[in-house]
Formats: sequence, structure tokens, C-alpha cells
Amino acid sequence: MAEVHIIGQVVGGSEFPNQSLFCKWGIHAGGAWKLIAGTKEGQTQVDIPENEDFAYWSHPIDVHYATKGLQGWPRIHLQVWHQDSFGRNELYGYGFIHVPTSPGCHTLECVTWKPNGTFQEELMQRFVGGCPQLKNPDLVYSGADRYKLHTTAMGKVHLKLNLVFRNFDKYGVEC
Amino acid sequence: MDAETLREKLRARRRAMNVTMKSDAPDTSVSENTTTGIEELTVGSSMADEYKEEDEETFRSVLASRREMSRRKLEEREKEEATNETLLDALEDQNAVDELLSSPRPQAPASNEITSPRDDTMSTDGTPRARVGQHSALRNRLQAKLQAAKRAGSPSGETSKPPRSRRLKDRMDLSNRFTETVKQHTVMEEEVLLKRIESKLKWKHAITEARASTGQPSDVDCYDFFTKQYEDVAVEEEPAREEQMEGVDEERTEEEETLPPEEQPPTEEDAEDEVEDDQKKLISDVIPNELDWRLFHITAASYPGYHAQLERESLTYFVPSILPTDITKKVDSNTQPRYLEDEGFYVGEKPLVLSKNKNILENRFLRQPDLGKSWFGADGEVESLPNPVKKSSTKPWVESIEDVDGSLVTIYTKACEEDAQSKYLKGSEENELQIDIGTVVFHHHPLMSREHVLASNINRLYDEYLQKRQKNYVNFYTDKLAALRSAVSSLKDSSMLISNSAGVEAHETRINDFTAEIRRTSQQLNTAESSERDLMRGIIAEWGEIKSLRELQDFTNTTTKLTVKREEVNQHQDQQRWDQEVESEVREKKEEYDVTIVAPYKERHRKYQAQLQEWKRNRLKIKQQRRRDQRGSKENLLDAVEGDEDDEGEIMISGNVDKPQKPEKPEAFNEERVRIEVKNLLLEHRRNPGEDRISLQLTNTANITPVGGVPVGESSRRKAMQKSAIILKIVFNGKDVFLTEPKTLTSDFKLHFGSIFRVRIAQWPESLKVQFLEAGLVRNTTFSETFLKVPDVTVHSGNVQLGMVPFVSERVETFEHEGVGSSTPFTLRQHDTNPTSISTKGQLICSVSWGLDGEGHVLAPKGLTNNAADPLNVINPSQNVDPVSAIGAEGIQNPESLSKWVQDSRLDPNDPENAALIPFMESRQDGHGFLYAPDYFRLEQLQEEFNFIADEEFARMNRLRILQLRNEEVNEFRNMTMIPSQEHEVMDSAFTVYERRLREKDSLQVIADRKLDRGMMSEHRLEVLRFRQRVKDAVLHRFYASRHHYTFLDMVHEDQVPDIGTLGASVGKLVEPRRPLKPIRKERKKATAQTLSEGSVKILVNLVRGINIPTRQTPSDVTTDSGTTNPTLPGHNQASKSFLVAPFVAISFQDNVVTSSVAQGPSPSWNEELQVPFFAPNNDYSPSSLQTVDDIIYLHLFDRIVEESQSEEDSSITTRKMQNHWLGSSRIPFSTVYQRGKVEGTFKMKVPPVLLGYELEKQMTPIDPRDRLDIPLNESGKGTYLTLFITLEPTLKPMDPVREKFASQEDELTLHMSATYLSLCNRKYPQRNVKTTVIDMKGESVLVTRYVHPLQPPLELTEGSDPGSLATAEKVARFVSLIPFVSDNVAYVGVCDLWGTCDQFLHMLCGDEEEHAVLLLNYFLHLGKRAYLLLGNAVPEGNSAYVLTVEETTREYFVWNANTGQHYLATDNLSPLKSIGCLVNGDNIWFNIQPHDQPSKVRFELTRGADWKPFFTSKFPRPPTMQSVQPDSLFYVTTDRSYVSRLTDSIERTLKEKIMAWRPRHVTRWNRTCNSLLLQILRNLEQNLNKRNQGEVNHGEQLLRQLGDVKFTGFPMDLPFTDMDGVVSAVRSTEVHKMQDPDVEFSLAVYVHPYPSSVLAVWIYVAAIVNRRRHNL
Repeated sequence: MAEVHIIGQVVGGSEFPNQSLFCKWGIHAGGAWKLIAGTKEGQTQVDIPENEDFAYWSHPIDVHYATKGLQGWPRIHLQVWHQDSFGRNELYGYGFIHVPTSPGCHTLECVTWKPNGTFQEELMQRFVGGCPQLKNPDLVYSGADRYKLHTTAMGKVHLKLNLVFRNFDKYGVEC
Repeated sequence: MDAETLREKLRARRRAMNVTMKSDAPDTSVSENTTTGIEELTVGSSMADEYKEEDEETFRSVLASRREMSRRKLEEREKEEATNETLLDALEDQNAVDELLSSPRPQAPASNEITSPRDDTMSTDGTPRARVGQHSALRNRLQAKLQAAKRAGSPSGETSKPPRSRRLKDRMDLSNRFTETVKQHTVMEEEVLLKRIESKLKWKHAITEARASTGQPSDVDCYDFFTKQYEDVAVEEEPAREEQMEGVDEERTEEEETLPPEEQPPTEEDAEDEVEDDQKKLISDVIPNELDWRLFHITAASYPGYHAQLERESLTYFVPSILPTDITKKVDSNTQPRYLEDEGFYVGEKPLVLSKNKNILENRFLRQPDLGKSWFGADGEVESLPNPVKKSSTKPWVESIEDVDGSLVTIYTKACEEDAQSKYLKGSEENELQIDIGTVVFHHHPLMSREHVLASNINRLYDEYLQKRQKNYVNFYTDKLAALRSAVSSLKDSSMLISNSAGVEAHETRINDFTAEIRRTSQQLNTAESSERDLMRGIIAEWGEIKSLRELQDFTNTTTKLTVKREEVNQHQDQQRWDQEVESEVREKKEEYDVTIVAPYKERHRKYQAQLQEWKRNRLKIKQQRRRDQRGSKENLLDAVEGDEDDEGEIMISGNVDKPQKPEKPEAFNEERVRIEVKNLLLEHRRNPGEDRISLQLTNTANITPVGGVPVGESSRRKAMQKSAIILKIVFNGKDVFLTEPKTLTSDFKLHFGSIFRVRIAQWPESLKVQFLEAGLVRNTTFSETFLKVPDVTVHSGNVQLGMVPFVSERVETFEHEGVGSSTPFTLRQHDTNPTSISTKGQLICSVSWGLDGEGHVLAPKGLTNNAADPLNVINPSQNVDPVSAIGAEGIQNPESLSKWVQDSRLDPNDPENAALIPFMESRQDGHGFLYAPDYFRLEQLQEEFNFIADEEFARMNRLRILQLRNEEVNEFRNMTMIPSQEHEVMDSAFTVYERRLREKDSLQVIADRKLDRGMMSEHRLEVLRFRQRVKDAVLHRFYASRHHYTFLDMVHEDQVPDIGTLGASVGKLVEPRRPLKPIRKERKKATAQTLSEGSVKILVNLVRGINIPTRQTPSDVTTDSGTTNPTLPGHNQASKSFLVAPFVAISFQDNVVTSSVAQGPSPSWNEELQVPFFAPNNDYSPSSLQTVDDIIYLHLFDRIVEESQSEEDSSITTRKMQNHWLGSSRIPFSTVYQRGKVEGTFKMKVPPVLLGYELEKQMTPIDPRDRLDIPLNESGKGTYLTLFITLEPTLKPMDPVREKFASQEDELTLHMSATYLSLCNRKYPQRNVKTTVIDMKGESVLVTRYVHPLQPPLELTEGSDPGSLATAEKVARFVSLIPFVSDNVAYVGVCDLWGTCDQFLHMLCGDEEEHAVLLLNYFLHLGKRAYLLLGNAVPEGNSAYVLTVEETTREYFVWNANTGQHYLATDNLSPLKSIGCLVNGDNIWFNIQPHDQPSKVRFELTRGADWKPFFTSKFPRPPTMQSVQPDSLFYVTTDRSYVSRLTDSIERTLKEKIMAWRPRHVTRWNRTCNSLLLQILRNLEQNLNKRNQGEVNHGEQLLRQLGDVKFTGFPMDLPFTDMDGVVSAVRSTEVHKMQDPDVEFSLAVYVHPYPSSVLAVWIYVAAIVNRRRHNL
């Protein structure tokens, strides 16, 4: 049984139009993967940096997967949200990134995007907040038709992951 | 500048230089430094040459001569050091060495010099010189080495050698360098320099002279003393130096020549001084002082000027012009520029570049050597690619929205705050509920007249009748019966034709199946027909009532009219059919008889016959054998043996077989009797032959008498009816959403609304309520409400059907007029004696469904599913009847599961109800099942093929499984550490406990297995265990789900910022007394789980004092005849003189026992602090783990008896025997200490009712000592007490109670009121215990008053005694106290305080204070007492619940501890109850707002507003419809007697085994005669408890009389039965078994007194008997 430990953190987000961000994250893996321990999704706190263009979350990730195959290698999907001064939350970006396939320490950057709405929606977003969201957030990591979406690039989410692989060599996989 | 003067100066300077050189470096050896010095000199002079060309010649000659000189010297050296030559040569060739050597050379500051070609030549010239330098330097080093080696051999230095200095030369060079820099500057400076040199020289002379005169060595000598390397070649150097000196310069001045002789003497002196005073001066002291001025020189910042700078720059920089270039330069001079575009070629658009930039670029290209030809195109422009930037976007804009995939649609969400409870639906979907309110039908209404009541009855019956008719069961069953019968007969016919046996057999089974079916059907037919007939009879009877009523009152109020239709039948035919029916029934009975009775009998008989034959044969053989034995014993032995062996076996076998029993012959079939039975049955159930077929029809055609023709009462009723109007209000999630128009009542009490309301919802549907309002003038009053079910997702407006929802109102209404009112008694019929009372009720015909949008989508919220079944619910949906209930609505949508269900349930195809399912059945018949296309796609393609291992193997991974279970926080694996890293290291056995628990959930058998003795577990107890487990699982599940909800405070810990208040407090501290007279215990810091480790937590017990401890009886009291003369107890006698008792306390906890010191007297004062170590389970000190610690701190009170006996032989030897006698014990659960942090107070010890040899000190007048033996258990205020303080060190942080808000069935207003009430109470007296809502077993909060409801106690307790008497109350209290106590914290891991209802409590047979108190209270209420539930604080349990009873006659208030069964007067100061928080009964809650809360100081007049604050007030009255959560009555299972006796045996057996096991070193003898005696005493004790006023038996005396002269230690104990372990540990704690007397005998009696509902009182009498007489012998 090959095992993967994903240990690390969601360090923070940068280059977003506004600060005061928080992030919802999740790890999606294929059917051959079995979650042994740890939580595979979570939400960070809201970080309001005073004068920096970097929201630090330092949210821990500690997941232990066992797999019987390579398909559906785990990937991390992220949603960055912004909390405005009224305490309302609005979506700032979707993003996803594959968990690296080599063991060791990895510093990752996940770029995010946000769907564009119609003119009216953009206008509303500008004045009263809110934002267009995907009806089906799975699309972030599974959709093939995503090219039809109009999106805006948002900031980056920084992750630091330490990967420990086990027993892959037993099944002829070199990591 | 004048050339002549310059030349002069230069010369002078050169001279000066040479002078310094010579003076400072008289050493003739050529070193690298000298060479560089020379070189630099030349460089420097070369600069001078720039000024004057003529000097060149002279300079050259100087240089040449110098070179010559050094060369010569070199040659000499080479000769001298032939040994080093080879090495040197090798080194010479290396350039690297060259560099190495040149690098330390001080470089001339070349940056400032303007390079000149001369310079270059000089450097090339310099190469040989550099070589020379190389040589010399290397040589120097090598020489140094050689010398060092030689000196090591001959330490005596040669003094005659001239001193040489390297370092000094370095300095010299530095000076040279500086002079050079100086030279670059003005001539003026040079003059200054010259002057300086001169002055310096003068100064130097002065010094040397001074030194010479004083005998000091010169500085050079001093330097040489340390640095010189003495060489043996030095002698030969002398002449060389002379030569050099001569050949160096002809221009040498006189000063120069004077120097060498001067130099000489110090050198010689130096040699002498070297030994004499080498201490005098260090070089470092001398050199820096002298030469410091040479190290730096300050110059002014130079500024050459801007223009000069520009000029200089213009020489090096090139600034391209921004002006356009000449085109002719760019193209070949002989060609014209060519414009390709003009010629028709496509050139593309060039990127836009500013012309200025382009010009600059072109100008630069033109500067290239080839004029940048390759850069320019034919047109003279810079060649460039066309502009790559696209103007328009490459990505096509997807215009049509239809193209977009459904999953890609984005939705706009408003920025909104997320509700923490996620009440709201996600997204902005439209969710619409459609509520169709059809008709309200009142089955009873207060405004109904009697006739209406009857009419509604008849309507109801008629509806039922119609329903039956519609289903037409009678016809269906009749047809079915006929069909079955014909089938059977045809089968029988065909069976004749079938020949083979298998066919016959199959045939027979089919026939049997059919006949069984026939029997069932005919029974069903009977019931169906008889019920229909009953209904008809009922209707007709009711109709008769109505008619008679109408006649009586002389008017008609209802339109109801019944028509009876008779259908004549053919008498003869009917009779014939009936006879036929009878015949066939009889025939079937006969067949049944044949099949069920005769056939088995035959079978049995056949077997019997066979067995008989066998048996007979055996008999015969035996007989033959015997005969043969007798005869052949003398014959051939061998034969006999063989034969014996053969036959023996047979005989043995056959001998064992008894003669087979002949089966009883069954009774013969009595056809006549059966016929009569059948006939009777048919007459009873079915339509009799010849009877008319009757059908009923109820019409509404009767005329209602108009208002004119009715009496006054009736007309006023009608008026009232017209006035009264009903409004319906729809409430969704507690919010009003709709109000219908008011509808006035019609005479048939049906209100037709017929309106559909659409409710668009944004919250998850939780409740949907319809309120029935009665329209009033001012405001509408709600008289009833009913809940509608939120429909399934599949129910939408297209497929919904109207359904009936019943509603009931319990409002009491009475009228003056004819209206019968509701919930109020009235006589319905004239001749009725008992008045009937009907509450308003009816049905609402309505439907609720989800709306449909334009495209037919159901507008139901996503994810709405039916909540999973409550784990407490054990309803088994009837699998067979209704597909919806069997497989659920979703299942019906799925054709596969539906067809499967159809197959499984074997529906009757002829049943009209199953018509809809026929297609599914048909498909089943052709054996293919339900077919549909495999319409699927594979989610994970090729997953299987690429799997590393198979799924099964995956599942078998034990290590991963452990990890997973640990992650899921499964009990057995939570907080597990050290899980092996290798798969094979994980044992399968790791799961056994867990798997067993899983199995236990389903099967009871396993629990029984776990308990060693199966006999111990009665059926009831097993069920209790299972129920308890289920509740625990459900509660735990909920708890774990909610435990991960953190609040802000859990995550962020912020220290309070000091403000003015805290500042003031700290200032105030200064004024506080250091040692206050009444110290207050300060709150200690709570330790967190992380900092704790094993052994760091202790329980501190501060034992203060004991009160009223039983004292030893003087022996004369016990044994009047022999006590005083008893010589064995001299010590005892002695002791009893000094003190009455020597008590000490042993605290046992978790297998640790800590004892206090032994004190003296009945009221000892220990004042001692004891520490008991505490170990957490699995070393896990987290709150969640500590919650589950169910260990108990036992406090045992012992008396230590020291017996001293002097041995007979030697009077000096005194044997001292210590014995501990148990006096009593008390138990405090650890959970109490943990939850409360400390336990403090005076506790009553549980002292056995009879303690032989001890008596309780009584304060009252002494009575006859014999009577003291029996101290009644319940005599209040006479107990033994201990004053204690128990706490934990360090304080552990108790787990915060779950703050989850619980769902509630109470309405919002009540909940709100209760919250405000609680906060008001807590603000006033935060310490007092008050509760308004509590959490029930389902996890819903319930108003506490709902728990109060009179309940009937078990009959045996109240039988034959006055229900109001105290004795009965005590009996009831005893019963309640016998139900085992388990703290909620332990049972539910600190989830919360759960209140079970009384039936749950009795069912679970365990509970904590509240359950006990509530049960006792309810019993008391039933007994007619005025009683209240008292919530307060008590020791040791803290917040507790007691029962308060009021004796109406004596105005006495009793406080009952339901847990122990004790009761105290409210004025009793020693009662464990310490404060009263609030009182509760079924109607109200009263909070104690008196300043005092001690029970003795509290006034109990609840009506006084100043003392008690009620919950329900006139402003907020108690809702009239408040129902109790308690059942109406309790069902008591009678306890199984046989189980009790088995239990008694097993307890006795176990205890005996245990006692023997505890005394491994002694023989344990049992005194059997005593056992029966003790048992008798126990029985008496139990009875005495019940009837304590009927005289007590002095059993001690009885015992002693029976046993004679013995020393007897022992006592009876009674305890509620929980399990065997509890009993055993209770016995062990008394330490009776520790009697060490060799002659001790033990006696044990166990008596279990059964109470109803498996409540058992266990009495145990353990006694140790020492026969004194024998002992004395």
C-alpha cells in the first residue's frame, strides 16, 4: 500500500486587489485514494494585514492518504474569499494545484481566478458587493469546458508542502 | 617653468634619495625590496624625464650601473649557494612564481599616472630585473631556512656580522612610494620635502650620536637584533658591499661617505649590547614614532572643473545625434534606396518606434566600422520584423449563452453574512412551498348541538363503511376463495395423471400451499365480512339515536339522512350456496386434519414400528447372549473372548435403548362436531342464508328546521355559530407567512377555504404549522394548531394529493345555549348515565408540496432529505404492505429497487390495491427481472487495471485501519500512540475489543458471554444494557459532532488589558490584611492537559474532623457474663479506659490506599492533608478523557484495636495485635471532584445499621444499653460525619459544557422567557441552582415543569398502608434509592446533564440525582402529598436535586434525598442539602430570592413575592395545553423470582471464593450454622426498614444467644445491585477478611430483596467469628 503524507501549510495570499482575506481549501483525490487521517478540507481565519500586500494564514495541512493506484493524484483546490468591512464575505478567486509528485519540501504558488459576470453583475459587485460564483465549484478542478468562462486573474496563494511517500517503490513507481 | 632650476631640484632630490637609501640600508645584499626600490626610482625618474628629455642619458647610465651591480652580486651568490641552484632554476621558469613574487611588491599608484609608451618599454626592460628580484628573494628565503637550521646546530651567534634589516627596507620603500606621490604634485612640495629630509637626517644624526654616547644601540641594531638572519657568508659580503658602494653612484655626496663609518660602531656595540641590555627598548617603541609621518599625507580635495571634465569625457564618450541620418550613408553609396512596398511586396507593419530613438540607433550603427551595413535594409531603414502584437483578442467571445454547459453557469451571490447556524438555504435558488388549504372539517366543535355530535359520529362511521365498500374486500376474498378451491380441485384431478414420484411430491406441496392459502383467505373473509356488518349495525344504531333525538327535540339540525337499501336474494339459491360453503369448509377441515394431524401421526407410527422391530431384535440377541454366556463359559476361552467382544458392543448399544414409546393415536375426526362449529362460525361472521343484502347510503337531504321553529337555546346557538369565524394562519419556521380570510361556521361544520398559498422560502424548512384562530372582535385567539409535514423532494405540485391532518384543541368551552362545548361533560344520549366529554377536534384537508418552475423543475432546496431515523426510534417499518414505507419514496423512483421489492414481498396479483405494481410482477414472471438499458459511464476508467493491489487487500491493511480508526476517534483507538510503522507489526488482536463492541451492538448474546455467569443476567437487565448502550451511542455521536465547534474564546486567548479597575484592585491589595482572619480560598490556576504527565496530578484530601463516630462497647455491655473476666483483652480494657475508639480514615482510589493517622475518641480531629495519586486513563489528561474517569474515591472509617497480650512463658514479651475494624464508608465519585474543582463540607458516612461491638454516642438521655444495639438507619441526625476538603492538585480544567443550542419543542416565547428568567436569577444570585429548561434524552430542551406528573408507584409498596403516611413515603423513597446511581458525566462523557423521563429511568435502571428526585416527586404527588422538586446545592454532589414535601397537618417540611432514600427536616442543620436554589412543580418554577438559602433559614411560603420569584406569572401565564413528558402510568415488570434466587446464589458463591482468595495464607473456615442465622437477620432488617414502627428485633442478642461465647465482628450492608464487581468491592473495602486470628471463622449471608422492575436490594452480612472459649483453651 503506497502512502502519501501531505504536511504543510497554506502560507498566505498575495497580490489580491484587497486584503482581509481568508481561504477555503480542500484536497480532492481519486477513487483509489483513501483518507487515513487528517482533515482534507478546511477554512482559514481572516487575515487583515496592516500595510502589507500579503495575507498570512499559515493554516496547517496534515493529511495522510493511502492509495492503491496512481490515478487521481491528490490536488488542492482553493477558494479565496474577501471579508469586507461589514463582515460580508465575497469570493475572490478559485484555484487549484496538484500536489507535487516528488517527496520533500515544496514551495508552491497557486494562481487564482474569478469568473466575470454580466455588466449588471459587475456593476452590482462594484457598488454593493457580492460576486459571480460557480454554480458547481467542482469545476475548478474537474471541468474540461472551462475555456468558455470569462475570468479575471486574481492573486496567488502560497503553499508550503512537505511530502512523504511510502512504499511507492514497492509497486514500481519512482517518486 | 625654468628647465634649469627644475633639473637642479631633481638632481638634489635624487641625491637626497640616495643618501637616505644608503643611510638606512647599508646592507649590501640585494633583496627584492631594494630592487623594487630601484625600479620605482626609475619609474619616478622616468616621470621626471617627461619634463626634461636630456636627463634621459644620465638616468640610463644610473640604471645600467645598478643593474650591473646587482648582476654581479647575483653571480657571486650563485657561486656561493650552489646547493640551492637547481631548485632555484626550477622555480625561475614558473610564471606563477613570478606573479607570486611580484605581488607583494608595493605597486606604484599607476592610476594617477598618464600612461606613456616609455612606461611600456620600461616594464619590458624591467623583466630581467624582476628575475633578479626573484632570485634574490628566493635566495633570501632559502638562506633564512638554511641559517635557521644551522643556528639550531650552533646557537652562538656571530656578532661580527653586519646587521641587516628587511623590515627597515620595507619602510624605506614606503618612503620611496610616498616621495613618488609627492613628486606628482607641485615642485613647491618637493622643496618642502627636501627640507624635511634634511631635517630628518639631522635629527637622525642627533639620535644616533646620542645613542652612541649613552651606549644604547641604534634603532637599526635594535631592529636587527630581532629580525636579522645571520649568515655565515656574511664575511664575504663585506667586500661586495664595498664594491657596490663604490659602483652605485658617482654622484654620491659627501654625507653619503660619512655614513658608513658612523654606522660601524653601533653595529659592534649592538653585538655587545645584545647580551647586556636587550630589554631596554622595543622596536615597536621606536619605529612608529620615527616613521609615522611617512604613512599618510593630507591632500585637499581636487576638482578639475566641469569643462575639463566634459573635455575629457568627449574624448572617450560618443553621444549619438538625435538628428536624422543621411540616407545615402545607409545604403550603398552607388545604389538608390529601394522601397519594397512600392514595388508591391508585402512588408507588414513595422512596430512603432519614435523617430528620435530610431535616429539615435541609426547614428550608432553608422559608427560601426562597416557603417552598420548589415543593419540596414534596402530602403535605408533599420531592418525589423512586422509588429507581433495583435490588436484584437485571440480568444473568441462566446456569444450565445446556450452554448455554455450547465455546470459552467455562474451565479451571482450577494455579499451576505453567513449565519452561524446555517439556517438559510445556500445559493439564491428559488424554493417554493405550495400549501393547499382545502377544507376544515370539525368532528367536534363546541358549538355543535347534540344532534351534530351524533351526525358527525355517523358520518365518521359511514366514511369508514364507504371505504370498506370501495375496497370490496368481501367480494375479493370470496372470489379468491372460489379460485383457490377450483385450483385445488383441478390439481387433485391432474395429480391422478402424474405417475413419477417427484411430480407427485411437487403436486402435493402445491396442494398443501393452496389449502393453507384457502384457510387464511376464509379467515380473512370472515373478519372482513363481520367487520363490515358491525359497521353497518353501528351506523344503523347511530341513525336510530339521531331519529329519536330529532323527535325528542322536535326540530332538525342536520341534513343527515340514512337510507337503507335492501336487496332481495333468492332464498333457495342462497341456502344452497351456504350449504355448499359449509360442506367445503368441513371438507377443508378434514383435509387439514389429515395433513396436519394424521400424516405426522402416521409418520411417527411408522418410525415407532421400525424402532420397535429393532428393539425386539436387540432384546432377542441379549437373551441369546445371556443364555450363551451361561452355557459357553466353560468352553473355548478364546472363542468366548472374541464373541464377548463382538456382542458386548452390541449389547452395550442396544442395552441403552429403551423400549420405544408408542405414539398416541390422535383423536378421530368428528365430522358432525366440526360441521356445527363451521356453521356457527359462518352464522356469526357472514351474511346468513336468506338474509337480504343490505347497503347503506347516507345523504344530506334532510331539511333543517328554520330558526323560527326552534327553541331559544337552539336559536342562540345558531346565532353564536353565525358569529363565530375561523381563520387559518400558516407559520413557517416560527414565522407567520399567511392568514386566510375568516370563514363563518356552516351548519355542517365544514369550512371550505380552497386556497393555495405559495411560500418562497430562504431557510431550511424546519416546521410548518397551521394555527386555527377564532376571529374575535379585538384579537384572534388561537385554539388549536397542527403541524404539516414538510414534503419530500419528490412531492411537487403536479403529483401531490390532498391529505388529512388531524387537529385537536384542549380548550375548555361551555355555553349556556344548546352548544355542547368542548372538553366539558355533557349527556349525549338521554338514557346515558355517564356524561361524555369531547374536545374540539377535526381534520384539515390540505396538501403541502414543492412548487414547479416554468420548466417543470421542482423548486425544492438541494440536499433536502428526510432526516435519518432517530437512533432511539426502534420502529420497524412494516415491510410488506406499503412500498413507500418499505423502501421510501426515493426507492420508488428507482425502478430497480422497486422491482426488487415487488419480487421480495410476493404481492397478491389479484389484490386491487396492487394494480399499479402489476407490470413489475409480470416482468418477474418471465424470469428476467426488470430490464433496462445499461445507461452508465465509468467514472474511473482503467482504475482496476492499474491498481497496485486489490481492494480486498486494501481493506486488510491493519495499520492503516488503526490509523483511520484513531482519526475517527473511535473509543478504543482514541489518543493511541506508538502505532508501528510496519504492517506486519500490527497484530490482528488489536481489533478484537473493537470488533466485539461492534458485534455487541446487534446481539445480546455477546453481552451475556462477557458476564461470566450467564445466570446473572435476566432478560430485563440485558435489555437495559442494550438500551443504555444505544442512548449512550446516540448522545456521544451528537456530542462529538458538536465538540468540534469552537468559539472565539476557544481559539484566541487574550489577557485582559489592565484598566483603571484592575489598577484600583491592585492598589487595594496593599491595604488588605496580610493574614486575614477569615481566609478565602483563591481560585487556582488551571493546568492545561499538555503540561501534565503521569504522576503529576494528585488528589488532596484535607481531613478535618469526624463527628459522632461509633464507640466501642465496653465488653461488659456485650457479654455480661464473661467480659470482665476475659483475660485475652487486657489491652482492650485498657484502651477502652483511655479512649473509646481509635478511628482513622483510609482513602482508597485507583488501587491506592492512603491512611490517616490514628486519632482518639468519637469526635476526632485529624487536621491532616492526604495525597492520593491520580492516573488518567491512557495517560491522557485531556478533558474529554478525564470526563470518562468513573473511579470513585472511597473513604473508609476504621477503628484500630490494639490488643496486647503477654505470652505465657515470658512476661517480658508482649505481643501486640493490631486490628482494623470497619466502621463505615462514604464514596465520592471522582467526576464530582473533577467537575467542581473542590468538594468541601461535612459528609455523612454510611454506617451499617448494626455494628456489633460498637454503639453510636447518643446525646439524648441514656436508655437501656440493650436497645442501643439496633440503631435505626433512618433516624435522622444521628449519623456519623466527616468534615473534609477534597481538591485536585493542580486543578484540572473541566470541560466546558456543550454550548450548542438544543432544538426545542417549546415555543419561542417560552424559551425567550426562560432565558430572561435565568439571566435575571443568575444576576441576582449566581451561586444558586436554577433550571428552566433541561435536555431530555433526545437532546431537546424541555421545560422542567413537564417532568412533574403524578405517577403510580409499584402497588406492592403502597398496598396495605396509608398512602399519606410517612412510612409509605419512606418505602417509596427506599425503592427509588435502590435504583443505581450513575452520574451523567460518566455515562455521557460530560456531554451535558440529561434528564430522562421516569419510564426511561426505570428502563435504564440508572440515573443521577435529577432522575431519582423526579421519580420520587412523582410518586409523592401520586400519594397525595404536596411535594416539590428542589434544586440546590448539597454535599458532596454539588448541584443536586432533592424533593421537598410539606406535611399539611404538622406544617413540617421534609427534604428527601432521593439518591439515598434519606429524609431530613428542613430545619436540620446536618442535612446534606446546603442551599436551596429553586422549587419546581408541575405548574411553576419558583426561584429563591431570599437573602438566605440555607434550608433552615428559608421561608417556604411560595405565594410571597418577596421570597420567591415564579416563572409563570400573571403576565406570562402557563400555557393551558402544556403536556407532561412523563407517561401517564408506569409499567412495572415483576422481577423474576428464579433470577433473584440464582443471583443470590451466585453472589454468595463469588463472595466466598473471593474472600478465600483474599486470604491466600490462611485457611478460611466457614461457620455454616451462623449463615442461616445471619440470613434471618438480613430478612428482618429489610422488613424492618419497611415497617420500622412495628418493633425491632434485637438481633445482636439473638445472635449471641445462638452462638455462645464468641467474639463477633461483622455487619450487614445493603446496597443497590448494579453488578457483581460493585458488590465484591464493597465487601472487600470492609476488610473483614483481614482478620488474622488463626481460629477465625467466617460467616456470610446474602439476601436479595426483589422490588419491581428488576430493582434489587442486596443485603450482605459478613462476619468473622472467633470462638472465645476455644481461644482461651
